Amino acid sequence: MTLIASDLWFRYPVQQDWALRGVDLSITPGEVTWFTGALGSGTSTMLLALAGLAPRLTGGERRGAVTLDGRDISDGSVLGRGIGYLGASPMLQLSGITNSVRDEVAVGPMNLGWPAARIAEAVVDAMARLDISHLAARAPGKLSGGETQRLLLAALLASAPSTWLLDEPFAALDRGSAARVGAMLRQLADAGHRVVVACDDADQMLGLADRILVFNSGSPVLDDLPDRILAGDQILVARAGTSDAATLAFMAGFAAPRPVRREDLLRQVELDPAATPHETESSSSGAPALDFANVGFSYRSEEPVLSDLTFSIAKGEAVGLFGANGAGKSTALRLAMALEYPVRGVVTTLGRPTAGRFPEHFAPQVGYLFQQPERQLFASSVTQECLLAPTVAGWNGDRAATAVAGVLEELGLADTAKEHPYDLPLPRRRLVALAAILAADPELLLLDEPTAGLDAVSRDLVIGAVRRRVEGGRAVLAITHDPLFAHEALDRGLLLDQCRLVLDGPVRDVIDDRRLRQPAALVIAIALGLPPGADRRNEVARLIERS
Amino acid sequence: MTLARRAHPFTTGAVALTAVTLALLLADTQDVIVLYLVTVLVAVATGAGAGVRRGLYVVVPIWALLFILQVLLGLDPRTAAPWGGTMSVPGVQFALSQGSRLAVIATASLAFATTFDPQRFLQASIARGWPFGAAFLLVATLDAADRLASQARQLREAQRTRGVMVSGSLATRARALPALIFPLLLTSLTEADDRALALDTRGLLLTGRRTAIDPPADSPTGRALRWLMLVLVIAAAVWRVRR
Repeated sequence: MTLIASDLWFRYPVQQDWALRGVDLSITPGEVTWFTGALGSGTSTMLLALAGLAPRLTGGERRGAVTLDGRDISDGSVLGRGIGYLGASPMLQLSGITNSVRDEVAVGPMNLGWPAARIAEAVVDAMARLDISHLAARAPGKLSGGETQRLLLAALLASAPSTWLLDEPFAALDRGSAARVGAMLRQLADAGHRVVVACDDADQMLGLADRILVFNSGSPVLDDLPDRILAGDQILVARAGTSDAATLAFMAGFAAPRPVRREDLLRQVELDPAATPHETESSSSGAPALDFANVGFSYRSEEPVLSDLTFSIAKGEAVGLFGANGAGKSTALRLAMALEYPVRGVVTTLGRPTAGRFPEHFAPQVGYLFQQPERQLFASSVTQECLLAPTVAGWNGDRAATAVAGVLEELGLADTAKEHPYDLPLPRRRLVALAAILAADPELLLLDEPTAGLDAVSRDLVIGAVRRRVEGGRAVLAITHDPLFAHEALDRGLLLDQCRLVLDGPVRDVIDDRRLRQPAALVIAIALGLPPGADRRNEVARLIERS
Repeated sequence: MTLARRAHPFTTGAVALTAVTLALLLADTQDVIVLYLVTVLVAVATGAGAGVRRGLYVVVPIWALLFILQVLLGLDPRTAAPWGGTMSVPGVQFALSQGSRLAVIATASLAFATTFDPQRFLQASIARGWPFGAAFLLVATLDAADRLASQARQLREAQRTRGVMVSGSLATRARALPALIFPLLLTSLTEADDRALALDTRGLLLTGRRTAIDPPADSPTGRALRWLMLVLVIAAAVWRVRR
């Protein structure tokens, strides 16, 4: 009863390089196995190969074998072999044949030909476990990113697969939903299922995974217990991300084995309160880059999405928009970009009301990163994609080329400049979309989940890019479920609940136990009484090092 | 919910198919005109009036073309026209006959498309034990335009947020079109791959017995109506052959 890859090699069509190189591994029931690695290390491809989708659907060339219970994995349908697969872009996995969430959850059991009573029971149970019962009558295509992710996980659960292959299942989930999904995966493994998760969020997987495989250049280079690997140096050599606490300990000069949990790090550090840094100067100025005044919005005759929303963002300020999945965060960003118009109140972007104006009136001074930017690229190369905004801004050729080269370097994309965006893996496409809006140096950045699906290195690049712009007087409004991005890149947080703004304050007030997981640096900073702005990783690591 | 949406999908399909078939079989101009009027009446009465409106978008330009080519510039003999001047007698006959025929086909098809519910149709097909692959192919085909439109909307939004002018005058829209079409084709190809993955991972490629979830009710009236449609088509075909 084992899923086995034997001397597995795989490469995508037209590619010279192998994406997987001689992988030997076995996935046993009763375990949560965690794949991690830097971008392009092969974790997502490995999941596709284990599901039998590569090369059957992707095309390309495979050598070696993948067998499930002794049978080659390429035979038959994925679900028919008892495999539940969730890709990195759940929106693309909706069946397209149902009108409601309830029926979408039932698609798998329906195709498996279960008796109607069993289907009904499985659907109700799956929706309850993923906390989407209240969405049962909603149209699947109209859900938010996080709600769609929960819907597809419920759809898998209802189909009762014995093997779960999940690519970034926590990426768009709020903290409560992520905890719920984590608990569900643990229960499945304990019940004897095979659970494999490709994930770059070490803190999410810590305590959940029984085993970690760190991939580098297409094959696993480390295979051990998560705590042991995360505490060591080898994971850093493989350019994969370790836990937040271990990263902070590394930055502070701790030798391996390092503490991997925040509490362990907190116990080990002895800080000199006298060395506490003062609050950092804010570069924000009075002029608002974005202003929402009593804004209300609803889609046609549906329930209100936003109600009486009032806030303002100054230049030089980075603000996070938080809330549960489906709270209306993406809608607020669309309102700011004039992709939607308020039903009540006024949205003023860069000093101009959006009413009567179109997005093209605000671009490229306003840069908008969509929640799923991977499908919204339209140029023939990465460079051309990035040149568009500077060209629209009227920059001359040299200035535009210099800016594009700079932003590609900044986001680690210099080696992809001539490639077609659609030839890149999804996380890199996300970086290209970000580079394309940064190239024209926008005054206001509207970012919807800018770090979703990125590895630790890329996430740090995005954090750095955002901070540099904020310090240069640019304004940022970002939606994120990534606690590290929120803490490192943002200054202020807005919390939406039940369509309304319920909290507007320093971002760390929003990143509390209930909303987002607290990064290690913040835990230590709060324990020491450090003020906001002095609680970021570099500052705290320096403080620990000095002590 | 309107009658057209409440009805069993096979019944609405049978009615639409009958209208289209009769439009092709009927020979006399006045019969085809009456058929068009009946089609419009049925569509409006059952709540599929949107199909009539959309049908007019399609056929009005064709009517205009028929009027110019057949009525104004058609063959002799000619007769006095109500607006002054002359018009072609066979041209008027041809324009009315073919114009009505096309109008029936467009109206019936679009009325069916506007009330078509893919889920109800698939569930009805499963309940009836019809081949799922064929039913899914029909649904996917009817859904393709919506998917393409959605993809185009996303790309257009992405372009607008990067400052590409895609709205405004006709000239501006025309200039923006090539910039939309090529990425749209590319993303459609990518979409095809993604759809294949979705179908496989959600079990839609499985063979064997499926279970219908809440299939639409098939009333005796609906079944009788379908039989009636079949009889009508056969009668029209026989009449046409004998004539």
